[in-house]
Amino acid sequence: MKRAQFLFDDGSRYEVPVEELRRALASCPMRRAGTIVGPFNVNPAMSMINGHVVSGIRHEPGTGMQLSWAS
Amino acid sequence: MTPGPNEVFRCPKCGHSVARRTLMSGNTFGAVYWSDGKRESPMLPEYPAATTCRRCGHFFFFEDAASPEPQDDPQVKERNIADNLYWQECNTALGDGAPRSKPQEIYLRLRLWWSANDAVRHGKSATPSCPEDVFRGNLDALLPHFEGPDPSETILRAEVLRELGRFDDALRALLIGDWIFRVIGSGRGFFGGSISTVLASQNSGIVRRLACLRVAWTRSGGVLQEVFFLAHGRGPQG
Repeated sequence: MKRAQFLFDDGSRYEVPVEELRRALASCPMRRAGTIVGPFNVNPAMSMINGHVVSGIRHEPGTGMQLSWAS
Repeated sequence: MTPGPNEVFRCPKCGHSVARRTLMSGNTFGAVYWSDGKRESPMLPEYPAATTCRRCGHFFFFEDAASPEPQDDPQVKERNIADNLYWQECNTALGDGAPRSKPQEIYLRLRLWWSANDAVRHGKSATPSCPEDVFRGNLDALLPHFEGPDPSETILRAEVLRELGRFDDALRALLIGDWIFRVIGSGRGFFGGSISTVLASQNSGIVRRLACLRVAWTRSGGVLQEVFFLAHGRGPQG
């Protein structure tokens, strides 16, 4: 996995390289022998994950790759 | 943010006055959304739905108390305004059978969870602040409440399972339902490649955890789509 995408309820997306995500979470406490991380937060407006600046890309609603459900 | 008038309630047991703050208006500017579902929004603060009477110790939900009284009740001072709930208070209330409905129980269990996680959230501790058996017992008790098809319930269930360390069950929870995803747009090739990488490194703990993470509290189902897509481990080209 090279990139992670976070989706928000306004339809916007925040895309960040997984390495950046891992770096941001490296200082995040982990429990149970390092198997559980967080909670943590994502702030696309400030381009931050858990208080760490990351080089992510914000996609406005309706742009970039879209997923939808078919039932 | 515009504060509203305080609402003054009386303890159903002893009649002591307690006030609850209200909001006339607010917004989510500057809000922080946490992976366990808690939202911290300085311009839209959450005020407690329940409290413990400071006179008699009776725990009650405001909705079960008599209708609010005028805010100018002289008995009500700033010190009588209901505080936010902490895990100890929630745990005691749950143990005493205070919730009178399923929503009330869920409310308390979520606040217990979030309060316990606050220590981790704000860097005060590497582990939740409540004892392990209380933490796990609370999450176990939450699970039956999140078995519905609602996407927000499914995501929350997966997050509960993740925090319980039941990663396989968390992934499985995301697969519940008859949802079928389809990809629209031009990102097919990129994302298919990404998913292939996920599959290749499926045994990596961090990848498995990331696949289960709920990254924002949303009722739109948007996050669920993404998590499901990752969890399913099968891209459009895979």
